[in-house]
Amino acid sequence: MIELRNVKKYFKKPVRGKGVLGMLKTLFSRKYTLVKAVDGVSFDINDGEAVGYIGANGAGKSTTIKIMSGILTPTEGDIFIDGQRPYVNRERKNVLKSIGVVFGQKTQLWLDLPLTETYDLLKGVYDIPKDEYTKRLGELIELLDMKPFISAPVRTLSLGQRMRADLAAAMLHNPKTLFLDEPTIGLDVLVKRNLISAIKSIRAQYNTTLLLTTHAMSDIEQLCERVIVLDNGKTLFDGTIDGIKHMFGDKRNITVTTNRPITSDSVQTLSDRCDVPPEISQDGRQVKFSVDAGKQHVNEFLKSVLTTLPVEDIKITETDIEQVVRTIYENGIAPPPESESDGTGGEPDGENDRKEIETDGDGQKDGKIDETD
Amino acid sequence: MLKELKLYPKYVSMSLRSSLSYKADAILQILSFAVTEAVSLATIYLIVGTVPSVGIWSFEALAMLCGFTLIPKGIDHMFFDDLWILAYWAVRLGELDPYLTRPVNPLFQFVAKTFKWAGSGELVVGIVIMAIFAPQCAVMWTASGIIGIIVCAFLGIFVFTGIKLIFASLAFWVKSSGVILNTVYNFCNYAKYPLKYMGKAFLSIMLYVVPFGLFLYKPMECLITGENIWWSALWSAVAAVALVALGLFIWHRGLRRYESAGN
Repeated sequence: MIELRNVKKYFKKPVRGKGVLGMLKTLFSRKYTLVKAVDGVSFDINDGEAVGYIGANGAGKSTTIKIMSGILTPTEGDIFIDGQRPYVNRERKNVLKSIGVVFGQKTQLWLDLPLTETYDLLKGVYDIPKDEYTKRLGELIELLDMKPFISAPVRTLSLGQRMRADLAAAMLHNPKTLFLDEPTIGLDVLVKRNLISAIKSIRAQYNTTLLLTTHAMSDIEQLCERVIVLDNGKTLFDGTIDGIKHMFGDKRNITVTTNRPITSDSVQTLSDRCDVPPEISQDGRQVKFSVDAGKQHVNEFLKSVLTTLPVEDIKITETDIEQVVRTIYENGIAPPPESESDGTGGEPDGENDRKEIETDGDGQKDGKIDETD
Repeated sequence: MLKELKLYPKYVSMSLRSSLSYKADAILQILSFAVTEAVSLATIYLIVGTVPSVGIWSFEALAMLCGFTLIPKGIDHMFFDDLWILAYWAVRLGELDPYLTRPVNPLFQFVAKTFKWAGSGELVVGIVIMAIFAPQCAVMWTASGIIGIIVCAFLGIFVFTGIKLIFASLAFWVKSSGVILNTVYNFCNYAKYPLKYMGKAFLSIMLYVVPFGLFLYKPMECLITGENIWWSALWSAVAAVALVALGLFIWHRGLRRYESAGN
């Protein structure tokens, strides 16, 4: 059971002037920008749940995970993992034994030595009994297909191999909870798919609670039942995957390339069926439609496209998180009126969040200048 | 604490094997430390060689002092070298993250992960210089004196470590405290010279502010003048305990301010 109670993490950043003179002024200035990386986040995660934690860059996802895994101390609020706080000296060791962490951007492995050496060290660090260690390492090697590179020095591993190795390192002590911070970053499609299925089988085998941050919606759809959307340090949404699709629209982006230039009149009938007007490229040979799959059968729409336009090529992409966030900015958080009774799991105070965002909707982080000493 | 002691040999062996994968680098490092110290001894020889002695300090005694300073310095270097990395990069680049997510003291993990055997270059040069020049000094070698300087050298390791920890931990506030640490650390080089004749003010600084004189210079002076060496041993102990405690305090306070680094 993980409980977050109004967690805040603020960073003070000195206000920097421009140029050399500005730099000098910075040295003697006491002005700070207060960056609210996490600004009052509360949620509970039950044992065995799998939660996707999404948001644009700088939304505060990593910061939250870093507080939960004992790296950062929150400015305000509390985090309890099975009743204990990871950032309190006396409680941290107990918490850390029950969690495993993987940061996609940084490895925890000993670079110049074979993998087995790091695992052997972790055995000591986590006091894993010998039998259990041997059994579990065997299972993980099997599950993550690590046999081919288990005795190669870590620095010679590919990114995909390294990520699997990091995952094994985090699972070695049988943690109750696994935090994965962008585990699929930089991986190609095939490797990514393998990693996702490996995480799935790990969950199936050990019933690990999972909190995953990522930029790819598809990762979340495959792994999690629940999504939490964070923006500017505040929760915008907490609910099921279906809920978020309902709320922000299950958008398909359809890019059509035609074999001769077309005009906006020729797509008139199609554009009536989209929420936003289609974009036609300058040479008139490419049109982008955005279709809400909840309101519109995608195959029906494609049929109409094929009959009305001289199609050469079609590309379809699903909603990605950047788009979800953009939708939030444009349309706000309130669910569409016709689906209000659906109970999509939106937060009751969602309306307030939206107002907050609108007030500092100039694209900057909501920071204010404080005089501090 | 027991767990840390059990883990330490594992860390040392991993660190040694890790550094052995870059053999040439390791050997060059040992050589460079040894050469640096040999050159500084030669400098003293050039200075003192032109005059028979500086007050009570003959060339042989100064050489012995020079060798003695290298012993705690070299040992600290071997065991606690990564505090430099804490000062220069680790805080700024968020490199402490992996140590904070494991159920073992993070400071222990951070310093244990590197066993800098290049530090043995300083240690060996120090011992060799002492072995050559100590018998040539006009010193009455007593058991108490010998044990006294061993105790001072041992305590000295922790004074070095404490000072390094204090100024490296400042990085939590200033992001990179390497330059400050370097400035303070380099005061230890003055303990090779006869502080007695370098002015009251400077001597006081070296004894009470940056106490390198306390455990490096003072014990040797006691041997030569025949003063009681155990007084400087006692004060070295006080300095070691106080500085390490202060260092740990600042480290813990700093850790709460640790900001990691953005992705």
